[in-house]
Amino acid sequence: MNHSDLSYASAKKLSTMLKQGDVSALELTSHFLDRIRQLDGPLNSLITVSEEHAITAAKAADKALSDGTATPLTGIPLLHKDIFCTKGIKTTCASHMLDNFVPPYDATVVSRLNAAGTVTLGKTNMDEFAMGSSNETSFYGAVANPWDTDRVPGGSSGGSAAAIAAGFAPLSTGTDTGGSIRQPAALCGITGLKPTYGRVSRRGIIAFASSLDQAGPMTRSVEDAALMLNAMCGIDDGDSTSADIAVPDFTTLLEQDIAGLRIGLPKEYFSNDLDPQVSAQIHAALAELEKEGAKLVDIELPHTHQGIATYYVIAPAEASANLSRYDGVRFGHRCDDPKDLMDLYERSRSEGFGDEVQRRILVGTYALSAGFYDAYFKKAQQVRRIIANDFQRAFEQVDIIAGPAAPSVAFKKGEKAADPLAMYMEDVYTLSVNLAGLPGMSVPAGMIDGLPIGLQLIGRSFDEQTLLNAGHRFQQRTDWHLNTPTLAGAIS
Amino acid sequence: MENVTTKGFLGKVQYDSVRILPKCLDYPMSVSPADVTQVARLARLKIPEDALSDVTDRFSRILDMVDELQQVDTQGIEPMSNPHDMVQRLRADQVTEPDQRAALQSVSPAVEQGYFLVPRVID
Repeated sequence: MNHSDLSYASAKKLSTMLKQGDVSALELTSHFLDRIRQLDGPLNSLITVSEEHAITAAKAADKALSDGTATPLTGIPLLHKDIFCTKGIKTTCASHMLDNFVPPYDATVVSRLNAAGTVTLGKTNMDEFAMGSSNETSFYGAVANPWDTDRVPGGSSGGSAAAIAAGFAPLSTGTDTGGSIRQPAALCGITGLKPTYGRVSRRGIIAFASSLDQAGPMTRSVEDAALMLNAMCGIDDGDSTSADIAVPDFTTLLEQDIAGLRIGLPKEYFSNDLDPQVSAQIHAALAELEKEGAKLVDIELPHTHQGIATYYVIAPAEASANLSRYDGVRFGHRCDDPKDLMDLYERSRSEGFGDEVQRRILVGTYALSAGFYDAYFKKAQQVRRIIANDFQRAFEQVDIIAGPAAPSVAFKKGEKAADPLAMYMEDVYTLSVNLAGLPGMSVPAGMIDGLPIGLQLIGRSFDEQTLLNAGHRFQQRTDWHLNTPTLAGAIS
Repeated sequence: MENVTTKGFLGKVQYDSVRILPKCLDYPMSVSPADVTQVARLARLKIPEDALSDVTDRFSRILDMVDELQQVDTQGIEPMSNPHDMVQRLRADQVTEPDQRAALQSVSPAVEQGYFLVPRVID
């Protein structure tokens, strides 16, 4: 098997190869580390490569494989978004604030994946504190889209999406507060799943908006996403919002027939805001699901547009509270020669946080301040319930909801960076799903002028299985997820 | 019912003097540089003079955008703070964490004898 075959092999296939002894975990690790070193320069998808940790973990994986104690993920190389605390490996959240932060503990997701035997190759670039939809707000520089390096990969999990599309690993973690897994997955042509709120522990994930944040798998196939999700889920004493609900084996129902599955198409998702070419491709993708026996049903989600305003009150409000911990005292950036405590706080924070993060802290502080709390924060929380009720009503008629994951293909770097409001519109189809706490997934569903687009599938609470089932059946019929970009410097 | 106007902070907002709720029509649709400076102070951020006008402009545009919320009738709707309306899960009040002070302080910018160091706060 030659190297390019390894780079784009699925985790499932690599797992079989490892078990049969066709390749060792150490060989796999070296292959991907070499590929990252050779090709990541122009992409900038990684902040840290954790070579030493990777080699140690790969050796342990090879031992487990020979002992017969291996799991399906043993020896599989993986990347973590740099928002997950990794013991002994620098974790920056792509911020100057945490440029020197080496966590003393692992996030629960990290320890669960470690326990499953995965090998962490490094930490992926992202928008600073996960605030952004283009990966241009990172302290470590913008990430390029592997399909066109003049374009953005989406965000905030843009480094993870770009790295998976570039064949730097078969698996990556991401987090999604308003679309940060699904939108970059769509723009980079990979599969990304945001689980139901509470499905995956948030312990050790640097907090942005605690009632919206969820971690999920970013992979090249739905099958790999199911495999990875199996190792990530479950209740955790370290996160009191993790759900006390049984976790199924997500791989068991993938092949199930979807004849009769009712798929809702919200008319608001196919309005004039949607690029007509994207709309045509999404309809073509839905026709494939119809051929599998699914039934398309027109539905309404009448408060879709108000979702943006709701989100941009709630998320900044929660962020302003969460980010108050960065005070220059206990950890993170501290300014030089503070003249008093106030100066220490103000300068440490203003030097440590970038523009978008400061903007959201300001908006959040305002929305929570005396006299404005009812008008903004409470009002937004009320509209949030109305939005959640809209979904609940829709799910009385349908089993899943489908639409685009993003309004257009990847845009050019710099195109929206100067206008926060234009950037905020990127997440119009994804952020309501976080407000309602539902699972959502993006799967590659077409190409427009060489750039990928994503089909978004939204499910009922804790019903990731139906999404994975529908997504897998779609990937059995189509080969969009098998497309790979041509990378500068790659040996063909 | 008499209307009162708050002083200083964040410009003119009219309050219903009995219920202390802002009245919809009187929301500030935009904020002034002085308002932004005041919010920044509350958030422990310092905005450089030369950036203040840009920051104020973008802040105002975001507030204009989120003003769309006021179009939604929310009468009698319970605010939602958790998507599953979960209540806080409690555990027995027992010590479960070992002492990790040294590990946790290993990433601190200034520590002495187990204490975090800050500038003098009492003269």
